[in-house]
Amino acid sequence: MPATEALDSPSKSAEACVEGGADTEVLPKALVKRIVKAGLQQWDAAAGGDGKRDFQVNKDAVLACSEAGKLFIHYLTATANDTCREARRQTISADDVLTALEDLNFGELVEPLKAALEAFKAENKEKSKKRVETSKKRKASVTADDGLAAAGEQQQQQQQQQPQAVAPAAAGGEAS
Amino acid sequence: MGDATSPTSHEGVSPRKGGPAALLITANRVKNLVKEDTEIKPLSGDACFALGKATELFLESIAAKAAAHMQVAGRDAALEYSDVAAVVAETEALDFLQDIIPQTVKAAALLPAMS
Repeated sequence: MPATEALDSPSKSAEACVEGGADTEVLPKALVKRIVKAGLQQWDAAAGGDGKRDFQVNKDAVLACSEAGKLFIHYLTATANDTCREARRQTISADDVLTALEDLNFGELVEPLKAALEAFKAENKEKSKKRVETSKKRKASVTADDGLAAAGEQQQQQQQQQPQAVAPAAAGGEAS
Repeated sequence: MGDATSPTSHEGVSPRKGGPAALLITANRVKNLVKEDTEIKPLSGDACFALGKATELFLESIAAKAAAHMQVAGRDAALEYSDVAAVVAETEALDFLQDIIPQTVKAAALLPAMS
């Protein structure tokens, strides 16, 4: 049964929600609009369209979705929090979030989310591997410049031509 | 969902930039939102990503369902509030949204009942 307040324009009630909530826009309209349009394009593509049609999204629809997104995050997080607390753990994990999705009847989101999580973890492994390699190289060059203040890599290259006691360590580092 | 290679673009719509691991609702946004609720335990990095991503998927799914209503209403590519409200009303899992996204009724429809 529709609420009687709804006789007012929908934007008033939606805006009241927004103002009553956070001071700053935590889910900005532009961002929400982009996500909604992405969803529409997926729907279009699934229905046999070219997936490139430009959809319009009414301002009130964007506001509604923005509020829906905020409430969803709170709802999902609170549910995941309960699972976490029951298991007597101190930190909410991604698995808690997945469990919460099932609990709240959003099971259809579980598989895509798992796929995204796999990609995310794989990307992070790559990034931390690169970080380790970069810091190894940096450490090697610092050893070579031992005794010289604030040496850059140019100085290190010049050093390599003049044999020095510390050079073997640098050569060893550079070779790797 | 083969949109992984869409280039970054600010004017047009890039459906899925950067592939499935890219996040529009970033970890910082999630943390700021969750901070408001002081009862919540700390989130792991993966949980932050999962929450942001789940919300994106959630909104995309609502959009797709609302599109069906849009079509029925004879609109081609213009989503309106009523489409979203209709999805909320007809989906049990979305009951938690019924108060903030109510279906609106034209005054004309209610006046006869009131008089």
